[in-house]
Amino acid sequence: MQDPQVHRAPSVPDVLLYLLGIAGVAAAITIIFLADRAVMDVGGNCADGGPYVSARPCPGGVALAMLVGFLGGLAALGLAAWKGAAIGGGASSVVLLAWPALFGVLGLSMLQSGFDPPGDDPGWAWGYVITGVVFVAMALIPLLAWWSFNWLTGPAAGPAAGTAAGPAAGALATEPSPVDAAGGSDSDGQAARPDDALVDGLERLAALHGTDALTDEEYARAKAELLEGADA
Amino acid sequence: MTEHRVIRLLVLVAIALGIVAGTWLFGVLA
Repeated sequence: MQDPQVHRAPSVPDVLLYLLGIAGVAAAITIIFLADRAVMDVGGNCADGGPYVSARPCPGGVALAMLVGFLGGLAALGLAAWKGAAIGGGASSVVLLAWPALFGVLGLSMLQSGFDPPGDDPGWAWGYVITGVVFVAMALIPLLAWWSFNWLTGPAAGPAAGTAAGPAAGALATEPSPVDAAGGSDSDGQAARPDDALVDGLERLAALHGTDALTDEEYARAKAELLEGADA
Repeated sequence: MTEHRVIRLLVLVAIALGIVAGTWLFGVLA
């Protein structure tokens, strides 16, 4: 007989590969940033190859670093998302940080070039400043959205936790409960009645509240939403 | 729940290590 409140612990290989993916994404974004800075340092653009002698050849290894950064970053992103999904509880949502991280560092790099342009030009390079501001905005707006709905910095984590009370209540009403998954309440083969879903939802909410995953206020709000949904 | 707290902490460590590794790898490549 399984305890319905017990959830499967993530496997160690899953966690290690997930962390490897996260570290890989961080490494890739770092490489892309450093490669971008190296190009900015020689004037913001460069060229190699072809039948001509380039007036501004790329710094050594930058093309390879960019390639490694983007391709390696995408592979690491996929690994982290895949293993994050296996871990559950919103762990894969961390990979969404790659977007604000990438645009944030590239935006800051452009702002640096805008305020202190490459070469000997005095004053600001407005092209870089404006592009930098756009990039930073592209980073910050999704970051704010992520911050309000994430697993990394939220309250205690769990299979259905790490979200605000509203989405949690919605998920509770639709996801199969641990009891259902364990073949408990529906073992007689009958379809679950709406009342069963409500009771399951209330039980899961109470369990989350009991483990401090939900504050008193969040619990009360989610419970009220669940009951209102049942009345509708 | 406890293991998720530990994983969250390890995520922050992984990000820090990734930045260090990326800096090192860029030094090797470029």
